[in-house]
Amino acid sequence: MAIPINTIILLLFLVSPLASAIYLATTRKPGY
Amino acid sequence: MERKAENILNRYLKHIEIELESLTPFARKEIIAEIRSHLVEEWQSFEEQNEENLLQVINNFGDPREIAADYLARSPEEMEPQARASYPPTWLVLVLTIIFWPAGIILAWLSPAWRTRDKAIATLIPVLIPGLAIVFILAIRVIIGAVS
Repeated sequence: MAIPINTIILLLFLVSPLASAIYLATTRKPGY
Repeated sequence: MERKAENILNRYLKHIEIELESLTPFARKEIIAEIRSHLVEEWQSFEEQNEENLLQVINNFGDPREIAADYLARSPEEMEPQARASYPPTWLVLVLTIIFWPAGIILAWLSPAWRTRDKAIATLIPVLIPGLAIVFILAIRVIIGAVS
């Protein structure tokens, strides 16, 4: 059974703060 | 100081200040004041103070980007206590970004630990990822609709 599109979008909304945090963790300046 | 010379000096210091944007306003002011007093001191060691020898002092001091990079490369521990105390700890920013994104991202904007460009990208990620997914899904629906 195919996953409903709304569920996919909801999951993306839930997961994207994690992506945001990972991006911040990898780009912080040395010494901080 | 003569007005034109003052303008030359201010323009040079402004360049450095722009490069130091990721530091706290306090730290920036401290650094700029320190550089200004050093440059004025050097300039006053000339018998006559004119624009030419001010430019010479500035040229000898170096490229604004390199000067700023030197300051940025110093660890926060080497800076004035006031400059360090005023930003949120990095771990807190990261944890909040995951569990309560708006608070985390606001703290990230207040912190000097990231460049403005990186803060902007981190802010846009939760908007762009689902947004692009919606556009992609709609585009596929349109294509399927056109074929069938």
